[in-house]
Amino acid sequence: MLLEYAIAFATTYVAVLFLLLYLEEAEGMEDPKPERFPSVSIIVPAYNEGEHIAKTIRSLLLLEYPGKKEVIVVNDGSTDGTGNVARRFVKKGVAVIDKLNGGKASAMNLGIRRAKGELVAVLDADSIVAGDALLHMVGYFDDPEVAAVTPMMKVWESRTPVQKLQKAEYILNSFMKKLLEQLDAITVTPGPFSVYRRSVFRKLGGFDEKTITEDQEIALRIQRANLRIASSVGAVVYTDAPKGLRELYLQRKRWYTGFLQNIWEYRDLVSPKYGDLGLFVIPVTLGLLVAGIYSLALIVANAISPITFRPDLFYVDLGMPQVIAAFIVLLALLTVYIAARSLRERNPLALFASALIMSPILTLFWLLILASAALNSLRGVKEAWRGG
Amino acid sequence: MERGIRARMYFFAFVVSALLFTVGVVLGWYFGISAATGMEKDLDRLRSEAYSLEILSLMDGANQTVACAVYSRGFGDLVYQTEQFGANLDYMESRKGKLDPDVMALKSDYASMQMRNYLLQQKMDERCEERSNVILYFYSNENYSPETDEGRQIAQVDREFGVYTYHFDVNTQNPAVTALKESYGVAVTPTLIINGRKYEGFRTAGELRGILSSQH
Repeated sequence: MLLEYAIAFATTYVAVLFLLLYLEEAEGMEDPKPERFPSVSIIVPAYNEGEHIAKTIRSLLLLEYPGKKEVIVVNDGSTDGTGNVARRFVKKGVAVIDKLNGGKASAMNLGIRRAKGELVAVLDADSIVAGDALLHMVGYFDDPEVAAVTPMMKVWESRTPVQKLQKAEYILNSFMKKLLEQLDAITVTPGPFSVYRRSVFRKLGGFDEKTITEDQEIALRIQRANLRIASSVGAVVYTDAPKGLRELYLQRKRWYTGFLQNIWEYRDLVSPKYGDLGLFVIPVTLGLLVAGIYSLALIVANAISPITFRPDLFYVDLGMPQVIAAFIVLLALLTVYIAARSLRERNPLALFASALIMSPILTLFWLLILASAALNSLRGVKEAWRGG
Repeated sequence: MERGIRARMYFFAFVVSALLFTVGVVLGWYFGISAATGMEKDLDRLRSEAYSLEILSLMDGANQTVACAVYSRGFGDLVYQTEQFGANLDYMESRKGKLDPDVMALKSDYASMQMRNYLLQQKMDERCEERSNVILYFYSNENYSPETDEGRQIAQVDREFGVYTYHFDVNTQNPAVTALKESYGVAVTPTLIINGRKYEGFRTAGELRGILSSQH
């Protein structure tokens, strides 16, 4: 029982801390106005994305940006005609580089080597950028300590229930990322339209071609170099989210396996030298993961114990654990509401309902994936991937 | 970049969380007390009903026939309500633990109540020349399993045979229960005393039906 209370207290503490962070930095949610417009190279690594890439490139060509910009598509040995689709845009200034298949990181690294811009943006070939996204992001680079800026990711056309769930999740993640920015503790620069200062790659090297979540690895490397990662809430990028449970399972399995590998690789970040990131964010993230696995075991144990419905108010428990659990749920709901309001979601109620109804189911699902990923990680099983 | 640690914010968050927790603890304690108080009120009501029925056992002569009629109408309801109280108490025990002082006190009172009902029934059956089916059910909540819950099996047959069942947790520290347990030599759980005969170990509803039919 003591352990359950400790987990409940830790969860309350984290929720309270983030709400306090929000209250302290509410005005900092706005993106800064740029003082200048440095040149930008946008790299689109693509492997068998013939279906999506035309839309992706069109969105890049429509980007509003007064500074110089170049679009480089790196065709990573596609076999579905992705290169031919991309070449239809050459006349509009898009550069297309063909290479043998070597993985997303190798494609991005080739693009970076060819890039001329002061800033380098990378964009997954299944994502679409809002017209004003770059304008929202470049202002952050007026601060010379900022090495990278992450966008506000949204799910493109959420049609299936699984996609609708992810819509709420992506919005909440973007909100949390914005709060983590205040602690200099962002640990992932997502593939869909993160923007980097090109000098960062000269200083730290390109994307790691061995890891399966190169977007997290580069973020941790930036953190280790004590450079800043900012998060824009106005730069919207739409990405194609998994439609079904199986697709989602495979994606999350890769993400979580990569997360475990990277955290192990960068375990030296857990140190007072890295401030809030080292002393609070990474330890708490790991602690909550362990708590999550423990909670999953509790849920499973309760699920197999007999449940008898008794239509009597007497059986509505209102003991200490229930009151504390109710507080945690209220804090979570408050966070969802604030996130929806801050990110100007048109329908906070839908987000609220989605998070309220579906998040426990997703948590259960994700914890299963995490346990499986941890097992694979221990066994040394390699995850196959191509992007996304 | 100069990294910092927001010690003040971490501390403030700790204070707020601790306050929320304290409120949770106080509210939880209050609701817990309310539940126990509600149970005590239920028990008082049952005691009062039992007391009224006990008075019937003092009536004799011409009043005895009327007393028997009133008793037979009221006693079944008392037993039913006592069983409901027992079910609530079992649930309370499963949530608060068997060592909870409220649970321990209520269980002891409940055992006394059951014992009192049983003795009243014995007395009234004798005075009214009736023979009711009676099951004394000795159980333990330790190592509980729904598959071997004898109470569920009894519930399937008690209406059919008009059985009065008295539940006794063998772990309850109550002298009356201890006396009853020892008088029947109860050594294992579940043990059933069906109309005075002892049956040890789990019995299905079908087996109970067979036993009750054979005793008629």
